[in-house]
Amino acid sequence: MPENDNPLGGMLMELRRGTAVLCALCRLKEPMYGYNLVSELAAAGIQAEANTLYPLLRRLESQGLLESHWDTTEAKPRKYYVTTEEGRKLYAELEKGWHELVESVDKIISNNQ
Amino acid sequence: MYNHDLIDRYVYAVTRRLPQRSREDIDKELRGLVDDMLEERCGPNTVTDKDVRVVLTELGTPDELAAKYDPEGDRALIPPPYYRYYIRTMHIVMAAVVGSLLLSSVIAIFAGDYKGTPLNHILHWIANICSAVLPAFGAVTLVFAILSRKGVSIDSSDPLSSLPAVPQKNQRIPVGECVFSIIINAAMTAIMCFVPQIVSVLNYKDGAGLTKVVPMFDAPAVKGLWYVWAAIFAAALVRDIVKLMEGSFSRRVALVTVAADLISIALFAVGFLRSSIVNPQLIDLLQKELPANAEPFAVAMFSNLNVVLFGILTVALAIDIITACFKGGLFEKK
Repeated sequence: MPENDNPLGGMLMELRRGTAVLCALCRLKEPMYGYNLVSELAAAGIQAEANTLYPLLRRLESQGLLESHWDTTEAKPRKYYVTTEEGRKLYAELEKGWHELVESVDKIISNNQ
Repeated sequence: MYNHDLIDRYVYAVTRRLPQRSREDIDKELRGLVDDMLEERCGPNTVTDKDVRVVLTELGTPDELAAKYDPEGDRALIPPPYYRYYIRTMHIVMAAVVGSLLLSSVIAIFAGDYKGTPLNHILHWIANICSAVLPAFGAVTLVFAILSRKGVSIDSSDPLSSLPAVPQKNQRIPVGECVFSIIINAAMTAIMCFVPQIVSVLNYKDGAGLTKVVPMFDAPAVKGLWYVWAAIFAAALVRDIVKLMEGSFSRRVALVTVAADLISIALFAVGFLRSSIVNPQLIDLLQKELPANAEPFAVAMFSNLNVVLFGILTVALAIDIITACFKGGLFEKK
C-alpha cells in the first residue's frame, strides 16, 4: 500500500488531479502535440504524467472542448490539439472558478496563522 | 540499436483492449509518445533496449494504460453495491437447488422409486445437479447484470431525490422473508425442471397391501416446459432481489412486484392450464377410487387438478400484489 506508506504523496496527487484540465485547456489555445504539452507543464513545475495526459486530451476532444489534426509534414507524424470555441468558453469559467477557489483556500489558511 | 518488437507488442497490448474505432489513432499516438520520451531520455546518444524498458515501465502496464483510455471498458459486469447481494443470492439459490435435488433423491430412494443400480442412481443425480446448477447460475447472473445496468443509470440522475424514506416499522421487509422466498422459488424450479415425479398427491395400498406413490405430474410433459418454470424463476427472483435491496415496501417495490407477479400468473397459465401435465394414471385411479355418490364438485376438482393448482397459485400471487401495493403506498395520493 504505497499510499499508506506515504500519505503526503497521495494527498498532493489528489490536489493536483483537478488542475490538469485547467492547465491543458489554458495552454492549448495554441495548437500543441501531447508531448509538447507534457514538457511545457513540466518546465512550469507541474508534473503531468503522459499516461494521464494523453487519455485526458482524447476525452476533452470527445467532449467537444478540443479538436485535433495529424501533422504529417514533419519527420514524425504528430497529433496536434487545440481548444474549440466551446473549450475556450469553458476555460474562462474554469479560470474564474480557480481564482475564487485559491482565494477562499488562502483566506482559510491565512486566518489560521 | 534497440528492439522495436517490444514497443510493437506493448502498443498492441494496449490497443487490443480498446474499442475498434479508436485503435488505429491511439496506436499512432502511442508510438509517437514513446519516440518522444526516448528522444528526451537519450538525446543524441544511441537508444538501447534498457531505455525502451524504462520508458515503457514509466507509461505503466498495458492494462493500466488501456483503463485510462477507456474507463468504461473495465467496468465490472456486476459492480458494487449489487455485488454483495449477488453473492448472497447466489449462495441461497445454489443451496436451494442442490438441497432440493438431494432431498428429492432421498425421497425417491425411500419411496422405492428408482430403477437400476445405486451407482446408476448417483450418476443420474450428479447429472441432474450439473444441469440444474448451470442455468440457475446463469439466471441469477443475468438478472443482476440487468438490474445493475438499470440501477446505475437511475442512481446517477438525481441521487438526493431517489434516497429512500426511513421505513415505518410495519413497512420493513425482513431479510429472512426474501431469503425464504428465494429458497422456495429455486427449490420449486429445480423440482419442476428435473424431478417433477416426486410431487405426489396420495399414497395408497394396492391390492397386495404394498404402499404405492402416485405422482401428480406427468414427468416428461412437465420437464418439457422447463423454459416456463425458468421464466417464472427469473421473474420471482427479480422481485425478491429488489425487495432484499430496498429493505422496505416502497412504490418501486410495489411496481416491481405487480409486474413480476402478473408475468408469473401469465406463465403459470401457460404451464398449468393444459391437462397433459397431470399424470394420466392419477386420473384413472381417482375415477376408480372416488365413491359413486361423491359430490359432482369434488369430482370436477379432482379431475382438473392442474386448474385447481393454478387457482391456488394465482390467489397467492394476488395476495402478494395487494400487500405490496398497500404497504408500498400505491393507493395513497402522492
